Amino acid sequence: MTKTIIIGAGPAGLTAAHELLALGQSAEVYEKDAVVGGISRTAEYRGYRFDIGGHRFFTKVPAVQDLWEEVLGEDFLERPRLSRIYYNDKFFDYPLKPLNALRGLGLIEAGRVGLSYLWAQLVPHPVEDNFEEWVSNRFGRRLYEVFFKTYTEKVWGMPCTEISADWAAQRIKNLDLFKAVKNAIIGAAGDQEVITTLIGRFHYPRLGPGMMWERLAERLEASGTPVHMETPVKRLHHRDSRITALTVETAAAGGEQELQADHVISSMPLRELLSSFSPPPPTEILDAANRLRYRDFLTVVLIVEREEVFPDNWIYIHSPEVRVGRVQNFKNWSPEMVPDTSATSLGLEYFVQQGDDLWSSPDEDLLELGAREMGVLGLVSASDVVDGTVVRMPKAYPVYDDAYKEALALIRGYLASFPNLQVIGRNGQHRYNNQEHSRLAGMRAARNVGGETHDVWAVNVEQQYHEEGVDSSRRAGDRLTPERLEQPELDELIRQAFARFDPVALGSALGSVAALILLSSTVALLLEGGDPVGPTLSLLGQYLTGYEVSWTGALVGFVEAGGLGFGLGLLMAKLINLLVGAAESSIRRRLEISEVFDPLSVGEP
Amino acid sequence: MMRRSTVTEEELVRSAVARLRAGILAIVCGLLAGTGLFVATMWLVLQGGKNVGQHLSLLRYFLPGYSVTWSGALLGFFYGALFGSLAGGLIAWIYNRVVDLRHPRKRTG
Repeated sequence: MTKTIIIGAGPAGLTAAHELLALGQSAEVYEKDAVVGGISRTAEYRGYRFDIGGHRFFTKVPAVQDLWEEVLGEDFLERPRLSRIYYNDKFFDYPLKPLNALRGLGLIEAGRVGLSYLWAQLVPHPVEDNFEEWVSNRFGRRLYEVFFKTYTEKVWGMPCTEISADWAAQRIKNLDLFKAVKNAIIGAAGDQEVITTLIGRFHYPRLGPGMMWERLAERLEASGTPVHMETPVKRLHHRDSRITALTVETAAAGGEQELQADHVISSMPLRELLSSFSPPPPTEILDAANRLRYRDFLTVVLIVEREEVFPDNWIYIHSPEVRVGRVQNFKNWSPEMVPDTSATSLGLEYFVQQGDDLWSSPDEDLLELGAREMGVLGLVSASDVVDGTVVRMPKAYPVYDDAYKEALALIRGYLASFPNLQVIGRNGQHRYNNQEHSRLAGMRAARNVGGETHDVWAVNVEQQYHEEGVDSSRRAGDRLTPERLEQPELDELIRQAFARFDPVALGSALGSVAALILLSSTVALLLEGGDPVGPTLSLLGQYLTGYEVSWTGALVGFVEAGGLGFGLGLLMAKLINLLVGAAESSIRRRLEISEVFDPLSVGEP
Repeated sequence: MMRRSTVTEEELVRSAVARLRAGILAIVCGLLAGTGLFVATMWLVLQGGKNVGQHLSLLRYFLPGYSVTWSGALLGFFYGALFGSLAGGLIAWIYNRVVDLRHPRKRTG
């Protein structure tokens, strides 16, 4: 039996271990931290539980959903979602709704947004290298400034002009018009669960996301797959393009242990992974790894002596006068996240850089800052805050800056030369994966150990791969087959709904019929005879030059009516196509806004 | 505009060309033309007066038996429906033939 060492007990690593267990393979998990779950852990302070972020459980993959339900059973709650944007002392629905945004912005601002949108359509940036250009081209500069710029810059800590357009493009890659329409159709039926990017409900463990990973770790331990906590991997030894052994730091002071491994699945940050290679990788690879940047994160948790503060699960704070980026209301995620229902715990999320002023501030100062900012926003009075704590999470998000792409390509090329090493997870791949992506990568990596051939890098790139199993209409006990059979038919129907008319064909059809009608009418009158022949129909001569009720006129009328009919058909088709295109663009734009706008949402597809 | 197209469905949707359903267009055009002529005739009949519908009644040259009367309205409905559906069906048929010529369907599966 082959032995696999898994580095990291986050969602990706634990899923890989679980999958290997299911495949009957031997595995061991090594985690440097004292808590499982990675960034999806649940922290606790005096009975108040909170996420590092906010981790919805939302998957389109039945195997993942089944596992979640199996692991948590009754503790896997289904919760309603409400998240709004706070800007300029007003709340805006998120995902953005045109009427609500219009009301919030006011007529003048809405007019500016509309005009700048039109301007962007007429005179777009010719090249879309950065995020600002990308968003402005699609939504107009003013909407970008109101709803994208401040928040995105808070999140990533750099000007939008320095954020690669790839990041936004990846968010909407394979963004599916079909699904939006299907959701509209299926949603209208009202009897089936609809899973969409604009999800209105989500699953969440009763005691926070860490509950899922703690249970999974317990299950692994019980089944003979050890999960070694606080045991960081120090070195990966390699020879002849194979990882041969790992050195881990053990609990004993200064103790180290060498482990043999047939396969290694790593979710540790690429920079750390490569720097632990023994012998070291080529300098250019190490340099590339050092060019990868991360965004760090801290949560200021405020305990507020109020039963209700706001109804949202979380609020995006776009107001530029405060530094907080997002506020979580953990009680609204699950009522059991607080020990006392008369109090509320808020998680104020600050996106930071290790070593910057916020990261280095004492906890007391951060708690004071948080309470003050809540007061500035008018969400909570500082006097209602009775307690609090601070949690810092380094390397929470991989940064997609100008340098990352080339650096990552170099690293991938180098790692590909080690067939028994696979990298998974958000930092393991330096990719903005959510829990679902991480779990899928973990599953694939484990199956590769079992002899299958999956591309673990393809997760979060070719969404189609894992959305083949879209479970949007699945009922309990159903398998995928019926949905798969129906899928192409529905796709075809939607394609037909947005199909364009062929202007030449419609012109030809209307032209031919108009020409035939006039010809046959004229001929009928000529055959009928009389004096004068067809005086009324002859009046058409006022519109059709040279037309009269005569044999020559019949031919002239045939040609001219044909031409007019053709022109009319052509215009009709173009007009219809314009309206169909506008409807399609409107749906697509709403999807794009929801995808691009939510840069830190976890659990989004 | 140099936008990066990343959405394959977008290309799929935009490359789709609508076909007309000849039967449906025939029924719709037939009903519209029939009802239109019926209403136009009835309107004139109800208005009354001398030389009721002297212009509309010229349709008798094309529609044998038609007149601006109650019975003519019923006959007009029949003729309108007949010729309307013929025109609608013909439009759809010609449109689809031209589309087939210009955008041959790809075999799938």
